[in-house]
Amino acid sequence: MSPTTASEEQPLLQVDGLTKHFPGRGGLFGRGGKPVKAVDGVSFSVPAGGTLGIVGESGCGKSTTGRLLMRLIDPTSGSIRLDGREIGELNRAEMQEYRRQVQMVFQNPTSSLNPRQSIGSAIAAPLQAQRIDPPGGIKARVRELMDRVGLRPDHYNRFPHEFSGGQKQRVGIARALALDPRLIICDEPVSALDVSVQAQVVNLLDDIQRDTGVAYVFVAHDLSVVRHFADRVAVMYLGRIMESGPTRDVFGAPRHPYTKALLSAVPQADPDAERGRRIRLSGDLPTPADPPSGCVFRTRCPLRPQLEEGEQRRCAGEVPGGEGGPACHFPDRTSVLATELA
Amino acid sequence: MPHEKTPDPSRGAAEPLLRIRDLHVSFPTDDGTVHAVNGMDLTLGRGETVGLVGESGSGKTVTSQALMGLLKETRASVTGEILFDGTDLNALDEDRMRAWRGKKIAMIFQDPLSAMHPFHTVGAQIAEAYRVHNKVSRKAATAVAVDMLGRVGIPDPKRRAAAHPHEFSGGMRQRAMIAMALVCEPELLIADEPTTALDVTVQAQILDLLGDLQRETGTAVVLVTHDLGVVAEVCHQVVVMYGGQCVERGAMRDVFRDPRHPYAQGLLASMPSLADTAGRLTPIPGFPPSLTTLPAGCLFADRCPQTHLVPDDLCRSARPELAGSAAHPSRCHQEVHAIQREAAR
Amino acid sequence: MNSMTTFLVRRLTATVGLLIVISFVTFCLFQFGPADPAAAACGQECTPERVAEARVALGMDKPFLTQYFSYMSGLFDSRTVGAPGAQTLCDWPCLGKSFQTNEDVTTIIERALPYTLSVAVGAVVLWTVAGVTLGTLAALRKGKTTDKLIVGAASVGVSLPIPVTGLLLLLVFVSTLDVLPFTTNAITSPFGPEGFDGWFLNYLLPWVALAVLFSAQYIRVTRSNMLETLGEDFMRTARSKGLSRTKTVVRHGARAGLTPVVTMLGLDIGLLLGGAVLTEQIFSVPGVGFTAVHAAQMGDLPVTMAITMLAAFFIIVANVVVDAVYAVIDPRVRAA
Repeated sequence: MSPTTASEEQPLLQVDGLTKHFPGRGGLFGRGGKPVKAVDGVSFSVPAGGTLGIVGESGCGKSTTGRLLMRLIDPTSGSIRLDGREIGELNRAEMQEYRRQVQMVFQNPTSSLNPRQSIGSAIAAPLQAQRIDPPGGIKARVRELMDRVGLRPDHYNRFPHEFSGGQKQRVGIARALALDPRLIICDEPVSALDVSVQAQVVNLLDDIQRDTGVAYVFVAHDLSVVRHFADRVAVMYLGRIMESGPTRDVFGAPRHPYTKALLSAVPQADPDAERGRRIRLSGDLPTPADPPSGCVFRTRCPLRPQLEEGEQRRCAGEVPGGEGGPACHFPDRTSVLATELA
Repeated sequence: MPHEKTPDPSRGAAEPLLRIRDLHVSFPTDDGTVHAVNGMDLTLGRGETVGLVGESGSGKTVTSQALMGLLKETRASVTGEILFDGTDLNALDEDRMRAWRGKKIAMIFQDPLSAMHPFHTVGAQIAEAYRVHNKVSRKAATAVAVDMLGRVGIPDPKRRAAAHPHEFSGGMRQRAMIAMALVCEPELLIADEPTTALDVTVQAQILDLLGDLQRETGTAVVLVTHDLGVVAEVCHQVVVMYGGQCVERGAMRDVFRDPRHPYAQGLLASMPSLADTAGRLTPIPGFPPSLTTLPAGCLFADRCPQTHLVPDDLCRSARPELAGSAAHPSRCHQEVHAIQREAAR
Repeated sequence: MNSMTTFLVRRLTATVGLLIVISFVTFCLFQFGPADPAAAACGQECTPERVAEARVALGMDKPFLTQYFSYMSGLFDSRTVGAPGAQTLCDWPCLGKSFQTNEDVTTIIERALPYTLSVAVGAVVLWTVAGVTLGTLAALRKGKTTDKLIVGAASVGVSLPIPVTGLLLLLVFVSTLDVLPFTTNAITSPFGPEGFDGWFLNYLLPWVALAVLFSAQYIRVTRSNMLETLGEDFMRTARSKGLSRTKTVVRHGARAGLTPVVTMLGLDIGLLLGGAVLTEQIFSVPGVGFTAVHAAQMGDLPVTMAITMLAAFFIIVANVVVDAVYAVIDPRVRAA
């Protein structure tokens, strides 16, 4: 991280060395086995009103990161600070306040709503849970929220099954907004939705941010949506961040070969887009219980054929990446990779 | 059953492998009749790939089930023609349909984990697909299965054939599923969202594999998907579906470059693209129609930004037919009445 | 070590531990329960002195833990029981001697077990065949008349308690129609002098009584599991390979759809081997359940204790067997 950004005002959310190891299974009495390193030393920050996209493929730890931020699970180590305050050290009342300020929107709007609870009371639930009595009463506040997300007032007493996926996701967003949070963790909020509806929801989230200044951590596998939506992006692989930075830079000129490969694999809805530039990743994702030594990406790295023996040894022996830069020993080769294949 | 063979104007005299004409499918349910498919048209030549594009409820999955003849034993009512190599599948009895299923027409599914039997080995499941249509010993069929696993790029196929589906990764499972579908060298492969459940790098591998195998075997593919990116990568032809209707069809390049139907235009516009700089997306307002109570007019009229261009409120009173050029027709009143389109869409 | 061996070692270790806990708890219950075996053993005209003597003879004068450990030692070797001077040898495996008859408990159980086995074998076969067949049929004909009839019959069956069914059967087939004999104690095996026919007819009514209740449950479980399986994606895959509907159901549906039934069956067999108390009472079959009730009423500690442990043992073993069978059927379980 450059000194200029460090001297800027404190970020809303600062995460350092966040790690979550799930206990492994195996052995005669189920205690042996290596721990699964779901998230392994992840650091990032989100400024107030900003959006951080966390992208990666299944098993990369992006959803676990979201759950750690929500404190749905406890981290193994590392620090999460909101406004500079370490949340591991908060007392009960302060934790309650943290839970008010950080809200979540889930991937599956159907399973995250209680089918027997009306839309109105679903949105009112967080207000009641936090014992907040808004001026004008809870009902008025709920109607205001429903209006905010584009639901009609007469939807108040309806039940989830009467709604489409897109409408249900609006309910989920209204519920997350009920407590005026400063940060919303969106875990794949549009991936269960149809394309045309997806755009409605993305735009809604965009509008809400502009109006309320809420910050988002947007966990998604769809790179195109993240490209549109996030100012900064972190690309994860096997529990670690491979590359992060302003979305424009990371997507425009990726410095990590994994980012490059990921981007090249996205099918373009453009018949004239150049074909055959795809960087193929060979093999399967290694198990997070036994990740490769050194650079976790080295077993599938497209740079590998170009590396000399000594360079390969370095990849296997040394964990790459320092402050802010891509987690790669040879980031300069990534652009070479591109020109060769273009 | 004799059928009048009319040459497809777009493809010369050659009879296409598959031609669907005015397919309608409806299901009786407790909440009334669900009109899942309301006029589906499609033409597919040998070795070609057609993309069936649409959102949920557009009827694309039901269409693929009708193609497999799997709707016959349900309470669905199916009308219209599905001409496969000149024979109407819809009029075929179950015995003959079964002889073709897996042999001439095969299918792969969205979620290979649930589509494969959890208790049987991958090799046995592929071997079974072969033995249904070929009188060979179990041993010979297993050898074919191992060979097939090797062809779809599974390393150490002999050992992997003895593994169960849960021991495979998602991508490997879909490869195995493809091996199962192609083991009898079918003329037509129906791929129902084959890469939707996969990660993007794995999706790329699977699409490459499908393309390679198609070039090798000359199998025609109906690719059911909601992802226009996937269509642009692999399809020759596109059929855009909405409310169970084919609203537009044509060569992939034509449909992407010059979408005729307002829904196709909206769908293309609402796709976020990697190439775009950040900016607002253009959603299609509203929601798809209820398939139990279809509107009297155009099924897209409620969400269409162009109804004012059509006189006499025709959009809400009359259902348009497919019209326009034979190679690239669309189901829009503007096409029907040759209304001059707005210059700047 | 392969996963199956690991699994079995793990389960058997747990089983032994569980049995020890159960034996201890049972021992406590009887020790501190309301029944006084010594008073029961010395009969009607009993002076306090004679009760005390009986107490010594039964070994109940010793400290609680001593009693427990000496009892448990009988599981590993023969031991002596009775008052000092009047000791008798109790052969391995020794579960003590009946306070009532002074017989080895092992002998009593050995005598009762064939009756219970006879009741269990036929009932299990009958209800499994009926339950699975009818349940599968109902699933395949979902919503049609066949389905409705089967489901209706099952809801009647499931709500008929054994005493009601049992007495009705006795009333109709034995008392009124006189087509079946009343159950006799003489027949314990299909290989005895009365032959298979005699054995079959002797136990038919208890089987039917049990089967009515159990097959109703099996119909329900089979039907719902088969319905779930029929809707699975892999069934559609099987169809799209070109398999006929029947072959699809038999080859792909049955194994997946009936796995939960196997679980249920294993546990029910375990339960039944511990004695079908009500059935044995109503049809006067002197099996394990019958013996247990009698012994409990008389405060016969060793017999009751032994049967309780036996029942627990069967249930635990059934659990292990079910899990092992499950692992054989479903490869995903082996991996976990």
